[in-house]
Amino acid sequence: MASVVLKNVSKIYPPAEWAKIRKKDQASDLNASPQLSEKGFAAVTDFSLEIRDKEFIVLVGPSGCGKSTTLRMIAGLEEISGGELYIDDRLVNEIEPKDRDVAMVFQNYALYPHMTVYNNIAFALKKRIRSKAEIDRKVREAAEILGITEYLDRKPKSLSGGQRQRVAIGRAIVRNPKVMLMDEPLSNLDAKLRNQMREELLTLRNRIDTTFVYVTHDQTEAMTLGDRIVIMKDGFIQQVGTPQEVFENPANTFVAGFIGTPQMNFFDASLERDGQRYTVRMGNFHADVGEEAARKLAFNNVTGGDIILGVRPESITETEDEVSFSARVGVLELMGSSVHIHLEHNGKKAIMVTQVLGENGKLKMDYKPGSIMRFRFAREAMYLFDRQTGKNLEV
Amino acid sequence: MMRLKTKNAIKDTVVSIIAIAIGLIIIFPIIYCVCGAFKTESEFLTPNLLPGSFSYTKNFSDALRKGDLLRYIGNSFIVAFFGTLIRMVLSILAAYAFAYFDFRFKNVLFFLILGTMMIPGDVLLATNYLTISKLHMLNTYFACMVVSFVSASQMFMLRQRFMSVPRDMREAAQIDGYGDLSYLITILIPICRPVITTLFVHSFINLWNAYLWPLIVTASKPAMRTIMVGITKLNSWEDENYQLVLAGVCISLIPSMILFIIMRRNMRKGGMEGSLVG
Ligand SMILES: Nc1ncnc2c1ncn2[C@@H]1O[C@H](COP(=O)(O)OP(=O)(O)OP(=O)(O)O)[C@@H](O)[C@H]1O
Ligand SMILES: [Mg+2]
Repeated sequence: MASVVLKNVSKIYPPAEWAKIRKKDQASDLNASPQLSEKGFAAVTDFSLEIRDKEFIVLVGPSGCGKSTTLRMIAGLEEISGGELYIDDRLVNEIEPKDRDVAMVFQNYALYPHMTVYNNIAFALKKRIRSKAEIDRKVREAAEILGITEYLDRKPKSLSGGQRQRVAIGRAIVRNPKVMLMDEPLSNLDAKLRNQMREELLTLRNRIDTTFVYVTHDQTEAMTLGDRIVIMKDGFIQQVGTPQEVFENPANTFVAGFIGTPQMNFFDASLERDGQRYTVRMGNFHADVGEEAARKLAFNNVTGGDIILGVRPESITETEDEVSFSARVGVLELMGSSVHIHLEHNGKKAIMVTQVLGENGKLKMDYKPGSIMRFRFAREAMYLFDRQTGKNLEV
Repeated sequence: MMRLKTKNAIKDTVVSIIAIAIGLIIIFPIIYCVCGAFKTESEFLTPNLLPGSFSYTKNFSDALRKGDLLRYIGNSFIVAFFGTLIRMVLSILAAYAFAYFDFRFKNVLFFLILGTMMIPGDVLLATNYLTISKLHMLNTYFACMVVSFVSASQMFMLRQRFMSVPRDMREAAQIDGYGDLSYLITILIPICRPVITTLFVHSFINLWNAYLWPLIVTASKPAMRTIMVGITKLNSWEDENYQLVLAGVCISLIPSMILFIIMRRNMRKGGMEGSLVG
């Protein structure tokens, strides 16, 4: 139950430490990375975010983007190289983890192997609460919530992965911490269990009512769990917003490509301005952008030129119209009621999704791999990005 | 199929025979010692291995009476137990610091400590003796133990073990509100119990069996002798009585064996299973 404020927080791993890791991890060739300087490796740069009380924030981004580092700085496990971190309006940069009153669920659970489940959960309470009865009551309550009451006397080694995961969560919620930190807690579960746990986290969240910071690289988890999502890349925040905001108005091509499955398609196109009218051109296809979008473009003083045109796979439709672009149909992937169709246009790959479930309950597929067909999309479905910077031209 | 089986059987037999032979060679002195301890004076001069009867216990009672062995056992116990205890505490704390903390000159210090393992202990005998005598600490328990308070090899082994415990363990404990010392006591030591017990037993037996150092620092006060020194004094040039010495040796073996048997259960492998994902 607390707000968390990060002001220009950054983390630079000193060169020595960085060299150690690199030797172990030869696969990732980050030598040419812009994050690397003589000062060290900038894992997180200028991270500013105000997390409100009881908000559920999800940090999401590809591997190595600095999510865990950010989380560990909030927990106090990693020193903050620059900037300020406040928990409940108290500057905590120099405060030890044990005095921050945060709880954390580790990606690999990190249960204490020599203790029973009961003691694992009670461990943190023993430092804070004197009364045995009180501890017992809280442990049993947490175990009840997570459905692990019957395992309380077991040691972690005799539990399954999903049960260990619950114990790890139980250990965190039992304390009723100010801030709950979770680092990819579901990433080690199989798909089915993951979906189940995701749902349980949603209910859990309503029950325990505290501030959450949740790290994941799975955008489904991010979209379903988060009040707000923070999308990161290379140590920088790319965008912060509600799931709907980041889906509808991605700040740049990275966010647009990251949120939504299958990925948004990107085409090379050009934009022409004629007074208050903007026209997008791609091969034989052209369309005026919508009125509202045009107003925003004009407001941003966009003059036109080469752009990247983004279109979600669901927005592409087949057409007979002349005003269209032609593409070769590649592989078809039947997903059930919908089909993913891989297209190739001007040497660029794209993907479209259409519903193929007819009213009679039968699938209706008349796409032939190898054939060339015409496609178009609605003008409201177009996202326009700067060719150089990748920025969304409408925001 | 059949041939493979016979081949394996032959291999097993050969290996077993060799192992038994080596085992016999190792244990023979002890068998000889136990048998000799039950022999009468005249039996001892015959070449027979076995004594006439295992009910002849005069050697044991003589040894206990003549040499004040009980007092020596007590001395040895104090020296070996507290010496080991302090050694373990110091090794564990140093190993923890080297495993988890970052401080200046850490690597230099670490290699300096490891370097001391290269120096044979006997080389230091004279200088250590001088130090102890100048401090007027000869003939004390402290003098007997002090040279064994620090052990570079134990520290090194513990550090390696500590470093194999995932860092997450410590971080989880930190977040749960535990500082370094309470983490060490409530989590790290229990997890590493097999190694620590093994080192404890090993160290205890070493200190129990120490001979040269206790001999020279207790030379002028017989009451402070340890058992190993005391046993040898059972035999003097005017009264050669080896059965008595062997009886003394048998008695001296008992505490180490009891300790080993008690601790054996704890020395099993294990520790981390179930903590992490899998
Ligand atoms: N102790 C360290 N020393 C040097 N560099 C580090 C250290 N820890 C992490 N890094 C680097 O910092 C960057 C960010 O790491 P971080 O663990 O925060 O990534 P992440 O977003 O959590 O990725 P993942 O999804 O793979 O967990 C990575 O490139 C990593 O190599
Ligand atoms: Mg991570």
